[in-house]
Amino acid sequence: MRQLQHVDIAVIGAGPAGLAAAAAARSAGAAVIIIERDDRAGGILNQCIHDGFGLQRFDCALTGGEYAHIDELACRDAGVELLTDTYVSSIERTESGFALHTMTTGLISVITAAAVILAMGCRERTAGAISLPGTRPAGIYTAGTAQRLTNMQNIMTGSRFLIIGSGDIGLIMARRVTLEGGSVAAVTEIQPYPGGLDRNIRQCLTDFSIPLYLETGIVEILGTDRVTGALIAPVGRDGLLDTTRSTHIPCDTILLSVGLIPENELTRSLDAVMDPVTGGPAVDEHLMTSVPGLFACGNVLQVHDVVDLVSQEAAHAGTCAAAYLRGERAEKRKTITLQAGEGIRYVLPQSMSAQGSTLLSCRVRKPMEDVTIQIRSGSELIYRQQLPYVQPSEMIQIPLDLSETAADTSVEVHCVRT
Amino acid sequence: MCEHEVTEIMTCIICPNSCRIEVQYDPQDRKISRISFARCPKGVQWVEQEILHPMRTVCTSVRVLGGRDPLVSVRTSVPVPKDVIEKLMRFISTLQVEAPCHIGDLICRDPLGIEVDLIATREVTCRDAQFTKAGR
Repeated sequence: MRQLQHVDIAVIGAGPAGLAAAAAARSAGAAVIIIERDDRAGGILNQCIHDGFGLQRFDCALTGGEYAHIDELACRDAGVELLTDTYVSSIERTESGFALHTMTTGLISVITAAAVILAMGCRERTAGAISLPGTRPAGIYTAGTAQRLTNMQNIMTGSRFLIIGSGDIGLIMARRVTLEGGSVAAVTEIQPYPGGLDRNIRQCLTDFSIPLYLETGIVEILGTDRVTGALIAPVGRDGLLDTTRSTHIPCDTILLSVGLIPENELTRSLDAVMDPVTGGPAVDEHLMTSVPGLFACGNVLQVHDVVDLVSQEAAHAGTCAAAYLRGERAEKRKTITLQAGEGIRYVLPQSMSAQGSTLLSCRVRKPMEDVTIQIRSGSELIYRQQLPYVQPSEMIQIPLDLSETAADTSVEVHCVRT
Repeated sequence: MCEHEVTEIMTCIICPNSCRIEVQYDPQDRKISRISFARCPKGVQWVEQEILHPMRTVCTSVRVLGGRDPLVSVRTSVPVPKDVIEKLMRFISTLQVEAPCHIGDLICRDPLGIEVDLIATREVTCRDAQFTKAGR
């Protein structure tokens, strides 16, 4: 069977980004549909039963489900159409916008839209992605998969855990499995600093006396049918694991929390210009990609650490997409490029289509104390802010006014010692 | 600084500012002599509480009968003392409720007798309703 439907704006993904983008676009007057592959809205928030969401936006610590529910109700009240159990298999450009080929149980259909907002989020790096050495027994999960099994399906993945990588999901799962009666032998991190937020180190590891071994990697996974343990070793002076100092950690389950990858297969299929550092598309101040009418927000654009910032970014994308449809978007007069300078890993947006203001997001390369964020246009210093400390796990956002900046220039963001 | 005192850097967990608050205290009688580098009064209160009587909101899940999902996620209505968490988790593991559940529903009234309730944090529809909805 084949059906056709036309909307102003199609949003792909009903996680926090998709919901906030859809609500904003709808309240700006556009007819909006959200396409979601899961059987419900909420995305990753559905399996995040811990609290701490909404501290900035609502000034209280909500659980993931509570946070998503607020946005889902806002979408419903605004008149956004939510299509669940539906997968976008491919997308193509047409004369009037885009055609999305979708699949749901027993039904293939085409949704055409004048604009598309990408909000597909990200997925976890796996054992293969980090070339995990040793055997391949049962009992190795990504932290997010274990989180879904534990919190949604009531399946405990093991009893004695080793967690590789100190990303936030790994830290949250260390606490979760401990509360459920399991034990966590250790969390290892190859970097000299933790990957997750300080607050999660405290509430998830320190509270339960779980050790965190920094600059420590995996020498070998042990076990044939099921994981029986792992050999871990510290990083030596040459940057390689010092196997002469390896330690045997007995465990039956290994959780990986070693990074997230924006899920951009659809984006690439449209030949959108990508940013190799963020793993997402390059966007302008309206969060529009290099493909006219194609917007991106949330973790598909850049991996966030706090959902409140995802919602804020996504609402901006929704508002801009609606303005694009009304033809309000200014002619492309000037282009200012934004670049990462000293100490900065990436900057977003990557360019400005016009002089004006934008909310700039960036991350530093390594933890530093007493720094100054400097933004320069050529030799001119246009912004500076002192910060007591910065770290890669915490995104820095700066409202930036570039209305006085000359056209066709490059603006660089630096993080230097004060 | 008396001889028992220690200086500890505590990362505030109240908000994403994550202030690194420096605190000097005596771990034996838990007497605080100095708190520095908190960027707001909430941070000072948090450090005091964290040393005198640490509290946490417990988030976990409870078995559901007849629901679309086998679990409903729950949390304590207010933070509880850290040392009752294990007892609370043991009690929760014996609980079972029936679908449907709605966000904000009272799942269990004051299980520990310390005026703390368990509140649902997920919508769990009935299994039958799900079949009807999808038309399968």
